[in-house]
Amino acid sequence: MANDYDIVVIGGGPAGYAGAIRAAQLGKNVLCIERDKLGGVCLNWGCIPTKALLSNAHLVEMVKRHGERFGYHGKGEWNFGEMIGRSRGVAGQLNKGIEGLFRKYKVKSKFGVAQVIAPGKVKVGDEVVTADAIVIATGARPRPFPGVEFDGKTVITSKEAMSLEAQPKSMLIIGAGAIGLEFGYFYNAIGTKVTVVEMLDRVLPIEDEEVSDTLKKSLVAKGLEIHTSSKTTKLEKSAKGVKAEIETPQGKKTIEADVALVAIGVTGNVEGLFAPEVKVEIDRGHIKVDRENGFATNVPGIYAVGDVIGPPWLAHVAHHEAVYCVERIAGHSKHTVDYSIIPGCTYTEPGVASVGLTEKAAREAGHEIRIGKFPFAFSGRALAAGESEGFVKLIFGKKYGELLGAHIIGAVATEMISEMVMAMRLEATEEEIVHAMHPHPTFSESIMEAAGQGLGESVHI
Amino acid sequence: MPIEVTMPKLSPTMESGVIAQWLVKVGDAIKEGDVLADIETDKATMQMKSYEDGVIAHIDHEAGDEVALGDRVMVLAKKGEDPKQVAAGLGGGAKKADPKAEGQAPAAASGENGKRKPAEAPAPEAEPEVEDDEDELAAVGTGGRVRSSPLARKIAAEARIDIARVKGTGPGGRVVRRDVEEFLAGKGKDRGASPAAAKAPAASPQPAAVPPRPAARISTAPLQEQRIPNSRMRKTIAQRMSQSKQTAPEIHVTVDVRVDKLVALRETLNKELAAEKVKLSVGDFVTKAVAVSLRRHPALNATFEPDAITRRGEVNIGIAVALEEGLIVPVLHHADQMGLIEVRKGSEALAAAARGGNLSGDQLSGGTFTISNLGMYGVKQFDAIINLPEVAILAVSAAEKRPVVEGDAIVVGTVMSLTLSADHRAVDGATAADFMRTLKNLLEEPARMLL
Repeated sequence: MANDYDIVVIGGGPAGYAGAIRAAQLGKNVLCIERDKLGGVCLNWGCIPTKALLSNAHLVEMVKRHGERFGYHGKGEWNFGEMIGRSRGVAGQLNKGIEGLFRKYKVKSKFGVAQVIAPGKVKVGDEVVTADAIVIATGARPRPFPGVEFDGKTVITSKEAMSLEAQPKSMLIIGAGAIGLEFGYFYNAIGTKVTVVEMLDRVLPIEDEEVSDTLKKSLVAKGLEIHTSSKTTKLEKSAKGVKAEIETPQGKKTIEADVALVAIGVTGNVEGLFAPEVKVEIDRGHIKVDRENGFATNVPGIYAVGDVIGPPWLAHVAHHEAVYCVERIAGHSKHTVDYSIIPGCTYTEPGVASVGLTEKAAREAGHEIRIGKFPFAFSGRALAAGESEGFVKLIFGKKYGELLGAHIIGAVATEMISEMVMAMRLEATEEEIVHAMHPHPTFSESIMEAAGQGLGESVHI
Repeated sequence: MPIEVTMPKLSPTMESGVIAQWLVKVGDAIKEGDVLADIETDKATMQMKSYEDGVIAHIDHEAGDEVALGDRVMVLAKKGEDPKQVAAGLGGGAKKADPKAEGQAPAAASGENGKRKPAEAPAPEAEPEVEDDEDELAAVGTGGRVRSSPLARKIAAEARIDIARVKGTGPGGRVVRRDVEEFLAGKGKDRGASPAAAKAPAASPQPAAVPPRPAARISTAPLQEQRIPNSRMRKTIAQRMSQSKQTAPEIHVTVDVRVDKLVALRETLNKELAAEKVKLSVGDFVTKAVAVSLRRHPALNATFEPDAITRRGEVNIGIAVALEEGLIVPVLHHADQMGLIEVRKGSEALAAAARGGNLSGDQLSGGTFTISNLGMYGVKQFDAIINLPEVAILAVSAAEKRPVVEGDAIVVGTVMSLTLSADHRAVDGATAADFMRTLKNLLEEPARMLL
């Protein structure tokens, strides 16, 4: 007897909804099961609502910190609850959008917790549905600080950090990755005393060292207290809120704050996902898949994509994995994700965006490199905007001039990086970048100037 | 049954059209009479209209693509058909129209008067299925251009391999870095000599030498049959060569020229010129000698029309240059007034401009005589086809060591065969032979050029 569905997708986040819609476009009968809200963490509790808050922080910063430079002398007043409300509103709007797309493409959806009870069989609530293929896209959730459970009030995750009822006076953030710094930037901008503790030797440890250094200096200048190479040895709730002991290179330190945001990484949502007899291989909280072969797990007919299969835990990666996974299931394409060309963005001010190898990684991989760099301080557009912090740094192979990596820190870095992704994808070399005419005046012409600087041809540096 | 819309015949002579811009996109519902695209024909930019109602399920070509007459440009889903299903059923590849389907799927073809006509050109054969992936389609697009990434081209150039030999695995068969690297490692797929790799006759003059070879490797991969649409250059070559052969009754006159003295002189001069980084070729001497000979034989420096022969007032020598996609004949103006160094530099500049696609209109016109040199390929003798309306062309072969009778003894001498093809409507045998005698004399005793 035929199965109920061609494909059942478990999870309605950026991987799940994209995979479900793409499969439906390819003529498949698809069911998407979601336990909470369509759109997943990204849309409801991650990428989108945080960006709403960060726009707010930028606005506050422009008025409060830079207002007078622009001739504004009024008094900026801000309502925290309304900021949170706007952020929730944006998430809600997009959530409705996905429901609309599901209707448009005739993707069926069920709400409830799903369990794979056998290959091709999924239980949701009391119901069992059958499918030719099962795609797991259950995502990931914040990893707690060892020995301290999240309580949603004083020891919190990013989800609570974007929906607090009242603005905390002080906040401890453990982890200086993108999530930690974005909230750090936001709360600092609106007047919370923020302390960030990072175990590794710099903020945004996966970014280029120069970028990390520049960002740290900028954030410290804005008022954040940042401790790198510092280990949090103890985190406990106190009468006031939380109390942490940290070991900094300068010695031990005790930090007290109203709340502690733990942003030290995520772990896959795999608990209870498979019945005991379904032996899908799981490694340290993440499902193991063959990324070169359509994201198949070790159990035929079961696939997994997105955050649940492990790093880099990015929505755009999840999206591509899901689309390629279902395209292969449908026999439509054999695309694979090129993990060497994944852009990463951090939406602080200045923002950070990068793709490809850092200078250090390129050297360690044995590349002979040439670096092209252009500071926004030399960009007319950046000066006009009053946002001249940061630079564009491009890493080229010495012999052929191929783009090995691009690192941007600056006001609109996150909007600029796509050009570099395309350049890498098309195997562009520095000459193509230099000769591609960039409009003036823009932030993005700094990319052309950086490539020109690498070739010794920039006329502006 | 979805409707396959093919490139219509929009001008009486068009063989292909370039899609100037699409005015519709996938998903658009269109009605009969709607304008689908602007098409550049050989004559003008014309509107391509729909002769069916439907929803666009798939578009095969992007703006800028040249599409042969009768090739499919888009697929329409008819009423009741799901465009997405139709598109999915196509497999995503830009396949050629299936000739069998032609009968049921009338092409949206029109004459200039807008009246409906069936497609006049037969649909081309379906391309042989190459594996199951669209990415496997050959990367040689119209005009023989090889789709490749800038990085792949740089690596190929550095390794001195012809990128057209490398099979691309990127989108649409694009040759990417990995393909070139695998090819160089000997693992890559060689798709055999491509049209772009095929050498067209003649290039800038050089003495006989071992032809440079690409890093040749024995390939056991089966050769693939390919249908390569003719580029505009190819079409021009085909048309002009046929016209010449059909209209000009040719006479061929061959002389063997002993060039020992010329070779010795060249060596001496090149030593002196080494500091200036000028290196004269045997071909440069030929060009110079031809220019001098033409001044003495104005009948060869002429153009023919049915009612008159024009003896030209300038000596402008066309030098055939082989390009990847065909051949072109830039013109060395006033070659008779040039010294050897100017001839060398002028020829070099023309060849470079030709290969870079940077020839100006001036550099392509005004020729009064053409030289085609295949010496560098070790050719013993060949006949060239006259570049009308000129009346003669000289075919230059390799200077090579041959047994030569000197007195009653056989000695080793350096000999080069030159063959003049002359249009007998304008040039008689004796005239041609007389010219060749002058040329031979100049080349055998180059000092005579000074007289």
